[in-house]
Amino acid sequence: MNNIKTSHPRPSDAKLEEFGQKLDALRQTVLDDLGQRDVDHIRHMMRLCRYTEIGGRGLIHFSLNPLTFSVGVGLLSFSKILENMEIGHNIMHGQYDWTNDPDLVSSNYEWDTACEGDSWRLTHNFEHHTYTNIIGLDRDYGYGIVRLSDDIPWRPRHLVQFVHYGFLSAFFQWGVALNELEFDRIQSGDVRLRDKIPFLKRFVRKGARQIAKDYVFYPLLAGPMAPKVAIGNAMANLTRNLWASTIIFCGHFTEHAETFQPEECENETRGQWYYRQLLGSSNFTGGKWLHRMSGHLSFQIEHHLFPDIPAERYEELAPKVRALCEQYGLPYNTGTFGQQYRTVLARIARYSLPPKNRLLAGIGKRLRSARAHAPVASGQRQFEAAA
Amino acid sequence: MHFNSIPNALRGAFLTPGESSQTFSFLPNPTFGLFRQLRAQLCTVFEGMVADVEPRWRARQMQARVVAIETETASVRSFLLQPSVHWQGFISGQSVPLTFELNGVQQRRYYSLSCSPSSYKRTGLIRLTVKAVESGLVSQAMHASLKVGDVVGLGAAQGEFTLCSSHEPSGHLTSQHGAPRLFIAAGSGITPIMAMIEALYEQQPDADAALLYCVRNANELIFGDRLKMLAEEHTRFRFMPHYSDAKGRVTEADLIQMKQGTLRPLVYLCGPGGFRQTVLDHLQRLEWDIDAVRQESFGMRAADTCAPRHPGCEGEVRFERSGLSIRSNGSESLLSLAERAGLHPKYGCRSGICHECSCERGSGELLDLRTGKPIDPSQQRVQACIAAPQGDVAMPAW
Repeated sequence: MNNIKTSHPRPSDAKLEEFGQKLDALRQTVLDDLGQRDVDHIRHMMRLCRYTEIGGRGLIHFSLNPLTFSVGVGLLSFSKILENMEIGHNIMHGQYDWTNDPDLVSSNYEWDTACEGDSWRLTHNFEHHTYTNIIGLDRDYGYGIVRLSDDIPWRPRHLVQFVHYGFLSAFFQWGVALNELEFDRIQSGDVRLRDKIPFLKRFVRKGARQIAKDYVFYPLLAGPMAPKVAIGNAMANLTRNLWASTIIFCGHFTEHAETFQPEECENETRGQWYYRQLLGSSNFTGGKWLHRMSGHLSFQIEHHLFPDIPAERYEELAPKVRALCEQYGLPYNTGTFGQQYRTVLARIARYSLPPKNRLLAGIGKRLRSARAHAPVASGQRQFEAAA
Repeated sequence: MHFNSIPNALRGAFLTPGESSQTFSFLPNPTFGLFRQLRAQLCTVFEGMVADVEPRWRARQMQARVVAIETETASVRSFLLQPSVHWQGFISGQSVPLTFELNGVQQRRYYSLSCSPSSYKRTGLIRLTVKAVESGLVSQAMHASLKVGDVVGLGAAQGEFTLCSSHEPSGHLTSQHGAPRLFIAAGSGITPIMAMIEALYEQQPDADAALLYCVRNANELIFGDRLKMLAEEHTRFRFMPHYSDAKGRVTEADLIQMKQGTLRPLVYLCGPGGFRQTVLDHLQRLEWDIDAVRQESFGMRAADTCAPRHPGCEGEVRFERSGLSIRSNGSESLLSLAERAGLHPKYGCRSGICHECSCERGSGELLDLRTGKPIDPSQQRVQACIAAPQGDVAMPAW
């Protein structure tokens, strides 16, 4: 990865290895400190998730007015978000494998979403976390639907990609569940549909179970009130989908999150891998519950540097990582949730147009780079991927 | 709290086995009733909620509650446990996996049950007798921090070192009636043997048996009072403590003295490796039938100890499920070794990021290739792509 295009001076290979060794040492100090409080935290989250689900489903079931119904939907949404983001995602990363607790071991865990566990572990833990932001290898980069870099050839459908993005967000769990299908590569003929049959079987089995739970089993329990329960469950699923999608888009698709080419990353050393994870990820700031509800993906940088360290440790790691970045003159992409999400929307808009239109945008870019020389208040370092 | 509801009288009954000759089976109940099966199913589905109400109802991870703790010697304690409602019982002499959470990590160790199955039937309690081993992480922690009312994980009983094995139903006891039983134990090797002797005399008060129990001195005698009482109650039970501080190691003369009559005895042997070898050598010289000896090792399990490590040392890696094996040079990862041996395990990044190749770990030492440090022996799952075997290693899942 010698030709990563960045505006900040790329540190020498020796410096990068040194940076990598410091991160390794940081990782080790946390690993040595893991213990009861980490287990207590995740069990606390699991308990909270369980009882908010019971409360939410109960209220949806027995609500007599819109207010109690809304509270029920809110509680169920909260529970589903917590389960997907803070519990499922983190356990399935192997963050709690060291506990030996069968309930917390990554390969045992099956989460409450359409995406089947093994498929997720393949496309997310392996492909996304190993090949982060490498166009063509990281399928999470736009999910084959949204164009977020000029490295993806422009097609007329990208003009309306905002609509596609809306659909992807609303049905995010299904988008994620179908990630392994590689639909775009089947269309282009690189992958045969026949080879995807085992995956499709697993997809149908898990998907059917999820649908049966939220749209058949629980509604039937309510008898004549079944439609109300089905609507409540659909609303909770929608809320969870929109939230998860927003958090995840803020992690890698902010304005300054960089993309890479497969050849740039061949024979990568550990230091270079850390460097790419850093450049490809972005954090956002917030309070304790924003972090928890995002599964601590608000610390996306720390998560990508240390994907198997319990996520609630990222908060204490963040200042140390940031200090290291400053020491080595590396960017650390962070801002408030609102700021970061606005740049995501801007990026979706920018890349819905073909590259030549960026000539027109060149003037705007010059203005922006002039602004970049001014002191930056938010602490967010500005750097621009060279066109 | 639940444990307070067990009357003291019941505990007493447990400690001194009653005279009532109840009918009981040595085997765990094979026909787990329909009600109990349904209950187990239900508890599995609602495991999370059940765990918050009463941990002993958990079905996927069975739990037991500590009801009493008794001091046996300076370094040995007995823990009286009330097992999970789903627990299936045991045969005297068997051991159980005990899971103890230590600073967030679940540590599993096997301990022999030191009570008879009938006392479990009567009282619903079992007894585990644990010696605090000097370098034993778990046994030390159990002595230091386990309190009455605490909950520990307790798995299904297992083991073939029994008064009558599961292969030969309890008929064995009567068919061999008349043949003396010689129990030979050293140190905390007494625990399964105590269970056997207790069970034997509950079933057959006139059984002919002798116990040679080897310890350093009288202070280290575990169950001394109970054994002496048993010997008083049953004239055909001979209790022979052997204090090695005074008398040295066990000799052939001790064994000859133990055996009375001409019938071929049944020998049950439990103790550390060296002790067992000495006794077996004696038995061989005495031309007793050592094939008929039932024995079990005890003491520190592999996980409790850490053998001296030689970085980069060679060894044999056995993949137990497939039956394959391969030589390792000490620096190649388990994943790559498995592939060279002809296996196709699941993998992803091959660099310790994604946990796709995480697998159950067997015996033997592993080195973390990223850090060059040994992987904590208590870790039951490892990432195969960054774990290099050091010396001989067994992998049960592949």
